Amino acid sequence: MTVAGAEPLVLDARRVTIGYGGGAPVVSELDLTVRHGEIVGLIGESGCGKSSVALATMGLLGRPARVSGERLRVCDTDALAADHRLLAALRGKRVSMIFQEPMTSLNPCMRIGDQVAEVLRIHRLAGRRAARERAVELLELVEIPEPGKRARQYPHELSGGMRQRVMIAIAMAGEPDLLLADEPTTALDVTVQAEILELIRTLQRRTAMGVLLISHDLGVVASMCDVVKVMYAGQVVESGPTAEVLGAPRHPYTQALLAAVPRASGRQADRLAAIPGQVSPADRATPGCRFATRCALAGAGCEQPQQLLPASIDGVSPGWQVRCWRHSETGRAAA
Amino acid sequence: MSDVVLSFSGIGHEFAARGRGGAPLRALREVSLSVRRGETLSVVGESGCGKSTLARVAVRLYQPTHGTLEFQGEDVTRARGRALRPLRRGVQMVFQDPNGSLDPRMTVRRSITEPLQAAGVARQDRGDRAAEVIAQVGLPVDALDSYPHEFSGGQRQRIAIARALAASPELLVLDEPTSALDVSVQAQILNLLRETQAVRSLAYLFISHNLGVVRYLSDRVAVMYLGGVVEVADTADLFAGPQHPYTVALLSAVLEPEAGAAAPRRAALRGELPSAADTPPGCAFAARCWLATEQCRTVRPPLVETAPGRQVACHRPGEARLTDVTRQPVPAGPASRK
Repeated sequence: MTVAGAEPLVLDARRVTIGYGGGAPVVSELDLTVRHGEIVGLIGESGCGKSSVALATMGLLGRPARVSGERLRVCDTDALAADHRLLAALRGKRVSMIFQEPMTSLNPCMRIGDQVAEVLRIHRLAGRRAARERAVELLELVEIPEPGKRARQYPHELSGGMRQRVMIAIAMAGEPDLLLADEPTTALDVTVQAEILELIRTLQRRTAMGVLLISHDLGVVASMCDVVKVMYAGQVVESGPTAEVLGAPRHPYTQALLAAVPRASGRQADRLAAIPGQVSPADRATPGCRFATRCALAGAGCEQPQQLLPASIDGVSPGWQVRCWRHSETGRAAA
Repeated sequence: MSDVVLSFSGIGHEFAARGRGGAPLRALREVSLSVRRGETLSVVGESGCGKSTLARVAVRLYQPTHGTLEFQGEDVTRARGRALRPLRRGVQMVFQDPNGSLDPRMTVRRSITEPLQAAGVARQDRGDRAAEVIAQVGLPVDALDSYPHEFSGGQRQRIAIARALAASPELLVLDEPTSALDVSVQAQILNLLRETQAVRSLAYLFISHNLGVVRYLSDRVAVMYLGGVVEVADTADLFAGPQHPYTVALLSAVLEPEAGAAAPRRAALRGELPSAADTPPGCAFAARCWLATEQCRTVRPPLVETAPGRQVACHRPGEARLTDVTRQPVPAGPASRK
């Protein structure tokens, strides 16, 4: 599967569809790959399906969820066919995840150090005493001051930023090949966010793990990711190198999203371009373009099924794709 | 100044410590600010800086422990009952989470007319007023007979704004009104707030941690750190040339969605906010400031005017530059391990 000269894939999803109960799927035919040493961003607004992608990758979606597709390979394991024991062996070791709210993902009744050591014990990576020592080292790795003292404290004694560092220490314990970060800094202040992102970047460079960064914040994605995918109503609408996608977006949704962000520096629009309306459940079920009901460019032709098409006219960025049949016009308009 | 709607002078607010005889938590210390008719004054800062406490003092949900609060020239710091009525009508609040601030068992009409009833508006006029404000926030009139759960987050925030507008206030206190919303919906609400202000010459006290939003909406900005105001300036001046090192750090930490901003700018600040219960004697920011001197650690800098309309609380105002942030030496400490 490895392309000559390229790093191996740690996540390989092809035409993956995720649904809950009846109704339209929350994620439709998603193609997504993360290579060793690469940071891939998944952007989108609430309900676009981005978190379901992470949970499906971890095998954490419960019974009502249906995950299907051509393939979903996570660190060379077939996650669609694997039973829960195989997935449990993967989680925390080869694949780790950090969540938005560190307080609810940490056990409030357990000391920090024991929570880090637990991962090592579960995966039989260390004995009891070695695990405890390694936990302190991991806390030091994530730049927690006085790690020996902190290891004996409980989550409520730590600030939000420190708790997120603990979560990262737990995620790093098994030396994973793939880290899933679901809105890792959304609950944090900007100055703390900058520190946490820098930490994730540093660890990623040092271990060359692959990272899937899920965020609604375009600034976070722009500063962190090599490749970005924009999701809307369960579909990827634009995908490619971050510089291209955020620098000269081709899909009307990506363009509208960028125009809706108020900027703290540089030129500022006199009036923010809001996207009218909201996503409706019917948009998810339509065979045509799901953004059409809110799109300024919508017209005859948009009711046809839309494919992800190469966006680069001159072929310079081969990985850049857009799900809009009018993308050649939108590209010219943006240029 | 006669056009001042609300003024805080030397406002301090302490919360009693929980548990065994701890020091009280000083959420606000000597905050002096005024909001003028028709303007937007934004208050920015990180969690725990006291900005939400200030918002709650503004609507007198809290009675401040120190200082004076004036509404249209009247001292309302300790007002009660009838004396508090003008403030109760004239200053309205919009909260961050519209799910929590709208009663799920009340129709939209009841939620909107309740403040009118409190303001003593006659029953037949209340209905007309409700229809008027619901149209103003861009919702159909039949929305009045629905319940909050029938609306999306953005629409609920429109309803919360309609309720705040119902009693024809002079000032809206907006506490993070868009931080629970998606960016595309946030833009709708920000535009609505701008249009509403232009039509009614309303004043806004806008509380936010999002600097992009603050720049878009405000005329003036006050930056808070650990309960105190560290800088006040016109929006354009503040964003073009911040004078307090904390403002510099805050601005440098903003990540813009620009392609090519690929390398994360280095975080200027190391370490955490000191506790508001145990603040150092000097400048509250000294422990995290890269310019701090001995004077900063021992003498608290007062908020002084450095130019017309511009105030800074710093012993070395204007010395911190946005461009040096990437080259900041990291203050010594256990957290500085590379």
